[in-house]
Amino acid sequence: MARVKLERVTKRFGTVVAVDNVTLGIEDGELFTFLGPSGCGKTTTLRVIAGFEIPDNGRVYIDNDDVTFKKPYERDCAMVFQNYALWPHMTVFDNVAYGLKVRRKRLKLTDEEIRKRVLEVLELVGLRGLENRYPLQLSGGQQQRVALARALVVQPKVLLLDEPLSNLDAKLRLRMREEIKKLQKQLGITTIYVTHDQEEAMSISDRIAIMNRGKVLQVGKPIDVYNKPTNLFVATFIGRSSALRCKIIEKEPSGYLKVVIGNQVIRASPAPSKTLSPGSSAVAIMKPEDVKLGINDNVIRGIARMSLFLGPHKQLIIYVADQRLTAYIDPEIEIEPNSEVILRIRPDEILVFPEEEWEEVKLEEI
Amino acid sequence: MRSMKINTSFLKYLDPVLAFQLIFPIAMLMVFLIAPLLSVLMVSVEYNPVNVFTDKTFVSPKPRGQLLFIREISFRGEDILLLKLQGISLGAILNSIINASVVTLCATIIGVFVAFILARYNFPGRSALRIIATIPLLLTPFINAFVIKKMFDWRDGLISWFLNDVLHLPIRIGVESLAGVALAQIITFFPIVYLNTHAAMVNIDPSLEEQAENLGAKGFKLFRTVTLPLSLPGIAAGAALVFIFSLEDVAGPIVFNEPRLMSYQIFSMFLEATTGQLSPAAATLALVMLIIALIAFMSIKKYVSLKQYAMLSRGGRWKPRLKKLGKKGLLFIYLVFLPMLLFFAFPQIGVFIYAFAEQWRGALPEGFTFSHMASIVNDPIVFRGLINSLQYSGLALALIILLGVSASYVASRLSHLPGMDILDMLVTMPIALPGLVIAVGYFFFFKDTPLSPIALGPAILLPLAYSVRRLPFTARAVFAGLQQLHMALEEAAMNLGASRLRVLKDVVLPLIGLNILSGALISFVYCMSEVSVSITLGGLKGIGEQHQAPLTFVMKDYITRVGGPHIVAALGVLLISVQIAIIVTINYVLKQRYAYIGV
Ligand SMILES: Nc1ncnc2c1ncn2[C@@H]1O[C@H](COP(=O)(O)OP(=O)(O)OP(=O)(O)O)[C@@H](O)[C@H]1O
Ligand SMILES: [Mg+2]
Repeated sequence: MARVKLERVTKRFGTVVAVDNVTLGIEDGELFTFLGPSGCGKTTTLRVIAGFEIPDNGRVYIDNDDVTFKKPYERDCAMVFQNYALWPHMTVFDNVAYGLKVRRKRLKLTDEEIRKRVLEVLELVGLRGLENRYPLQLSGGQQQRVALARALVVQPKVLLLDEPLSNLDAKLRLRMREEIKKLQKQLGITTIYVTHDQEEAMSISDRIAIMNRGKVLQVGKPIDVYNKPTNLFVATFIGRSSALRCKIIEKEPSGYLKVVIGNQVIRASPAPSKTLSPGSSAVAIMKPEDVKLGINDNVIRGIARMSLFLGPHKQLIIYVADQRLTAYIDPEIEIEPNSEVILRIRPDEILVFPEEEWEEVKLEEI
Repeated sequence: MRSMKINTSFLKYLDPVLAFQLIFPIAMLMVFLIAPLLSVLMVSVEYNPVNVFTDKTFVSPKPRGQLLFIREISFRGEDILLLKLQGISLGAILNSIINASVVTLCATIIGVFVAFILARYNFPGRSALRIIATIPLLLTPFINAFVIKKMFDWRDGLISWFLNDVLHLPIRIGVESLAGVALAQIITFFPIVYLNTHAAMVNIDPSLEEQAENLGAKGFKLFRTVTLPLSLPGIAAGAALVFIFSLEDVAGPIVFNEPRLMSYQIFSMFLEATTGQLSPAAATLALVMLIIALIAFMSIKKYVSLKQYAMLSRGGRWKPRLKKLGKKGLLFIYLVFLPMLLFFAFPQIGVFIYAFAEQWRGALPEGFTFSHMASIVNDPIVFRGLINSLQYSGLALALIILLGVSASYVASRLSHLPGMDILDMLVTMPIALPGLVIAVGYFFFFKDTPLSPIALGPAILLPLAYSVRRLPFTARAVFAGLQQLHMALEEAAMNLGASRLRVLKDVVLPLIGLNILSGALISFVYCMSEVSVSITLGGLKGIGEQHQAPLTFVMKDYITRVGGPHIVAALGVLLISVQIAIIVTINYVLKQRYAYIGV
């Protein structure tokens, strides 16, 4: 159980800046997630914390120790690797017991105690009875749990999980994610989790850091990150939001903005602490579930191009002034392709960002 | 500034174990490979290398001798036509270069031809033929060349006997001196080209050839335009190795008693070195040999590096493209191709005949005996040589494993760091370094040190020389294993608190153990049968009751004694048995895919 602190950490690989001046603190017992698109530096950040990479700049602290230059085996972090990295020549038991055997002298453990603790952990992850199997004789989900057990058994200060569920099928993924959350709370281990799946991140984390191109863009509780993105990248990345380019007409006394998209005027909210002056170009962000069919005092018209049935709802793709907008609608409703639709959105649910941040998002889409 | 940065951050990753693994191989190779090579350079510069080039023995502008000697003679009361292939001499240096070129050309043509047939055509008995084609690679120092000499002896050779005595043609054929050396080398070395080319050909994505066929290329055109260019890396690697091996081969010249080659010259200078002095001309010759070999090596470096090996060893990803042969094709295979391969394999067969025949003085062997085999144990000089070689090779092997595992580990795990290419080259290079150059280098570099081969004898330097020369075999096998071993497996252990040494012991060694073992077995065979250093440095103390010379030195000594070849053949049989046992073990017990020699 420990606090982890990164202070201005930078890691480069040649010209690629994999981690760019990252500063953040992770609290004791917290489940903290790094979320971001592929290649944004999540794994590298985790590897810096584990000690597999030494940062070019900055410091890493675990509790109050500066561990920046400590070897991986001196840090007491346990990692669950994306591909599990189970040792194929050892049984499940030996895999899990390994960390304890390495610490046997320091912790003055007897064979009996090691055995007891290994079996306890296997019980915890639901693998009792499989201890004599070899990793190759296990299913993906079982292997994943062995990897988890192997990390948990040493009661590390910090547990590091690098996309631990990405190799599992969808159903198992949901179950394992609940189990990890449950175990983590039960054991109270400070846990750092890496994923590029936002739903997974939202559901499991106490706090999330959104990363892009090596930078941490926003840190916060899932609900805050979801509802109050502080920059355009986060706003578009989270929640499959649509982004429409617009121009600011005026600032109302109520605090809302009047913006024009194509030739339609609509009311929207300014993103917090951004300078948005009348006449400047901007980007309006809206989440698909906030875009509804029908009329009220804040509407926008568009051409429905396509509808995709997703189960609980239907995804409607609309073009507004040649820009794409997505809405989730009642699956019962039939809409003719290429018909005009009227959409209502509450001004609170349209967030306007200055245009400068658009470049970064556009680059990401390429 | 930038490189400074890399260096310091690199030092942060080092721990004592990794540092040892990095520094130990580099230090060892500096002292036991680079320094001796430099002393070759220095001695020859000091001595004034021009002397060698103006000496008629080494460079003679006037050609001597003739390629083909034809004369009608009366032989055993019969008038016959005598045809002898001999060779023209232009002095040892040019002779060596010409010889190596001719051998390389012929071995390459034969090797590519054999590889193409075995890689692209299917017929009953194909796998047997594949095995037969590699028989010439079974190392039997001196005696296989001796068998070839015997086959082509115009008086008592099998070929002349067959033509003259069986077919009653009034003709006898001999192959002697330079031509004899070339013939022996072609037969011995073509499988190196064959194996490398075969590996390259089965690695060609079949769809590439199919595509060409779709576009209308067929038969030889297909071969010339698609198959050949795509297998060129394999062919080039094989050819360059043959060139180097031919250059440094000293067994062939000794057996054919052909002193007009560089290798023989260097060897013969060592015969006088028992006094403690080695002619500096040896250094110049060695330097010439080294430069030629390095040029050949550099031209193929791309293909023989540790990294490349790992790529090639993944061979057989594709389902090979095999064509069925028609009637004509089958006739060709069984009536021409098979006899040809058997002919090339005959030296090894001949070794068995020599080993078990009471004598073989005329065209045909006579009698059957186990006494030659028994001599291995009964003859104290031979037995002592065997024990010496086992000890030297064992010692060398311990070093090879330590060096090979260390160097490969560092090269594969720190591959992103600058300078790793140099380590890779240091470790791979010995495969292309003439052993004689190493022998000369060791002599001059160590002669005034406590390791002096004159004072101390070969017991220390020989294992060191073996370990450097045979390191590439183990290093590559280990490297290939490490390539397959995901780094996360090691990180997982370190992450759980295991020190680097512990990770090596618990994770790395168990998982690449088979690679180490198979590489080590190959290295061991090649140590046991090492010739160049063994018959030069190894013989500085001579042989007597309690001699220190290795087995191959004894073989060299016995091959010229009366009745000696039978005992050498018995040793050959012993070596063949060990090699077959090891190949079978590697392929069928350890189930390792391992290129026996070359790339
Ligand atoms: N060892 C390395 N050498 C060179 N570049 C690297 C190395 N490791 C990572 N990178 C680069 O650093 C950047 C960040 O990589 P990282 O693996 O941290 O991304 P990630 O967020 O984990 O991505 P993913 O979701 O695909 O796993 C990428 O551009 C990657 O190509
Ligand atoms: Mg990653």
